[in-house]
Amino acid sequence: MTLEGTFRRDKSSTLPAENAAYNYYSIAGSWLFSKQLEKQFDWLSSGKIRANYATVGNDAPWGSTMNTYTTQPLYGSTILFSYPVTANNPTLKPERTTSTEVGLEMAFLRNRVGFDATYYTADSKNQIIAVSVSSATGFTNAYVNAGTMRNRGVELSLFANPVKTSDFSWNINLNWTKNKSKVLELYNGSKNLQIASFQAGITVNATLDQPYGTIQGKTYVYNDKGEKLIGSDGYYQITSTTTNVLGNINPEWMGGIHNSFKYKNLSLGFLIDIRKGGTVWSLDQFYATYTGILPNTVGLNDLGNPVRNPVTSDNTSGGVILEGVTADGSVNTKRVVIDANSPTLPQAAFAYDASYVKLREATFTYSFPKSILANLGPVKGIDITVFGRNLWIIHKNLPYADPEENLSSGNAQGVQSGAYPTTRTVGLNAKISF
Amino acid sequence: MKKLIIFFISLLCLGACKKDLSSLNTETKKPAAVPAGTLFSYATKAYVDAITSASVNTNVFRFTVSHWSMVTYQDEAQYDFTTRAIPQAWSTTMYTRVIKNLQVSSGIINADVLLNADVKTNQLAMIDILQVLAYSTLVNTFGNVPYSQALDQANLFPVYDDAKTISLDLISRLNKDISSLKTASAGFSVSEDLLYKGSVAKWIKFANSLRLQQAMIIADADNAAAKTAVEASSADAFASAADNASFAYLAGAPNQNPLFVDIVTGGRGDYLAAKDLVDKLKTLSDPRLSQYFTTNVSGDYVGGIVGVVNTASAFSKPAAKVYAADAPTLILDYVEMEFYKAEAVERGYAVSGTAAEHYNNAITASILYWGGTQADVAAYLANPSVAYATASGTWKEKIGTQKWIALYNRPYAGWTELRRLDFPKITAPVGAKSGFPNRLTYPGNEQQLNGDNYTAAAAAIGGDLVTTKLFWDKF
Repeated sequence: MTLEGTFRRDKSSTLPAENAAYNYYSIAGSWLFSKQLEKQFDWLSSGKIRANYATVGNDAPWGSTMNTYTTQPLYGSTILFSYPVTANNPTLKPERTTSTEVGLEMAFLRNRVGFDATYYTADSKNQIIAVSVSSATGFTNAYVNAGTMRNRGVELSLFANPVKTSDFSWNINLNWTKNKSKVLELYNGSKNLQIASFQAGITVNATLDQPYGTIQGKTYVYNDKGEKLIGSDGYYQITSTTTNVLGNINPEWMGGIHNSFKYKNLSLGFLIDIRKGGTVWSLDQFYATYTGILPNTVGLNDLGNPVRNPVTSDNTSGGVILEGVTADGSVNTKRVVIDANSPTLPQAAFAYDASYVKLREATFTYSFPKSILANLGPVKGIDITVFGRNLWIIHKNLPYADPEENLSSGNAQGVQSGAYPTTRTVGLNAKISF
Repeated sequence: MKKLIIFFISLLCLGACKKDLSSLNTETKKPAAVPAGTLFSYATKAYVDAITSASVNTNVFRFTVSHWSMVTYQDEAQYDFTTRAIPQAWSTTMYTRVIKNLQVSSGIINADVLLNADVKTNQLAMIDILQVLAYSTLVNTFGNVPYSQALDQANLFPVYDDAKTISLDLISRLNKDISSLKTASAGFSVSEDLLYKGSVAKWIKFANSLRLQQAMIIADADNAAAKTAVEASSADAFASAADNASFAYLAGAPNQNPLFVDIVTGGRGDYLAAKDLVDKLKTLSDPRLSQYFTTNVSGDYVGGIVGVVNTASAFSKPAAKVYAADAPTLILDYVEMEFYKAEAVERGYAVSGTAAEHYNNAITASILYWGGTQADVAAYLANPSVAYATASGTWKEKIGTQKWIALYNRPYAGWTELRRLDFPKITAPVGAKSGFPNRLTYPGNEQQLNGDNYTAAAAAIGGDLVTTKLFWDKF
């Protein structure tokens, strides 16, 4: 059994003097209970339970407590200064994160099977963010202690060694994680914090009482039965509100399966990564659909005519009938032109499920047998490996792009714009040991 | 020995600790205090940059009034203001770059105990006039906007005030500014005052002209208030082009006209003449045609159709003088004052002269401003389709049509007058995303950032749509 604790006190120059100091505490304990039980249960190889609690503090970015003026280019000989558009804040408090974690590690049958399970909660408080604010405040951003967010989650990993003979072995590793976040409180009684905004009026937000990272934008107008409404012009009606939640950037869960097989001198390993749920919003699809560069913008309509043909009143008509109902509830029958000048679909049409199943990695190794190595003097081992990464997207729901591609790797996830193809790497690796 | 080393090392550590760390967080590259005039000058330029620009990200009203058309990208010409977040850019410029800097500037002046009291009064009035100008731009663009609770760092969720209440308050602020400006004392210095080089007398005329304009804008909604303010202002408004509120761009970077930066420096050949304006100018044999536009490759004046892809070579383009590096921008001018006075006469306000006289003065001043001659003026006014007595339609149509022509390259002002006078009738762009925009929708991010107040304001004005009419837009 172990138990340890830490304490630390920091004082930061980037915080206002009266709030500059903050403390860290942590306490962690573990108990290797298998020591007590191994005599009774010989199938138990090891078992450990652990728990820890920690608080962590953080300071503000430099220069975020006082407003200063920005020098502007001279106009002739006139000197120009401007007031900053990001409001600094002389009353910032340090950030605090409090986390609790409990875990159980067990292995059975002489370490042939085992698992590691963790449950955690982390509450982040007073996060220092230059939040976007209404420009009517005279600023576009303001440094605030932005709020409190809770993360709770489970991390599970399992390993098994189902076959183990002198010539052949099979190892399998499974991991699975699920995180749930919730925004508990926001600055100054705000109900929404905009994390990022993108072209086409898409925003990523931390909304009160919702999971962090809601994607918001315009959507269809629905009737009471949940059917999409079509206007008298034959096109979809679109909300004027931009606060409709189109999805969330976070997955429901992530998982990975790694298998490795070894037969004599050959070994084969592959890793499959799985993401379930979450949303990716695609600016590429938005533009490509309305400019008509995607294959799905051509084709035949219900009459068997090319959709890009002119709309006429007889059966030679091009155009499409959008799926939906008119204001009186009857099914839409109006055929309309779909081109770069016709009304665009609402942003909601370009929110995709970000799930995927990927063959992330595969390796195939040949190790030279000892009989050959014996003739090579000091050389103790030669392994030749063919490896590949990002080999195959087995399943996804976003057309033409990898749902994992993101505009940004920071907080502003969940939006694609000019997504690059994922690069596939295939290589040969020789390892010689002496 | 070892103990001694430990002792000294710990002593060194103590020496490194400072009691007061906050000085490390002090910005030393940027000033914490500046003269008030630098902010006033900056705000003036920021406002003028915004109304001059033709950027598809900020100011697209040249398409809305059918003066210009686009070669390739038609979104904004088709009344799509949201894809490029134009309302947000427009509002952010007015609040953060213009009004906030003016507010800070007046705070510095108020706190300056050494400043001569009369100079202080003059400077505060000038700042207030520009604030009124910027707020009027906001209120006449959006309707209800944050006003009484705006510009307060401690209030991140300002409420929206009623548009009519704001408009009336802006007029009463101008009343106060006009009475407090005193020509006996200085205002801002020659170099700080980018509009009038320190002439307080000119600022009085500017304030009167702005009051005349703002009063006429609300005339259909509150005739009594408009009449009082117009009659109080008409005698002291701009009396000639020399009084114009004109901002001089400079030939050298970085103070060139934004159109030059966009079209010449940026190499954008996107902008073409629009059919509505070119056709009208041709029909009337307007001498300003060749001042406003170039000819196409065949030597003809042809306007492109707003909302469709136009072949650049087949159509006229804006004339080089429009986007010269040092082309000045008018904030408010004598031409407008004469048109307003013509209108005031028609509305029965006590303003000297006849409607025809003011109408002729306005057209004359406009043609001369653009480089025409007195002979051009005489020929043009003799045209029965131009002459006030014989031109077609009501006074709104006569004045509206000529004002629409005269407000070339004044996109925001042209849009306001078009909404107010309802003439001429603009050809809707091909592929219009909505009816004619009577306002801009609120900045998209207000829904995320100031949601409750936004929702209340949208309901109060009758829906946050571009087609919702502002309170003064009765027809």
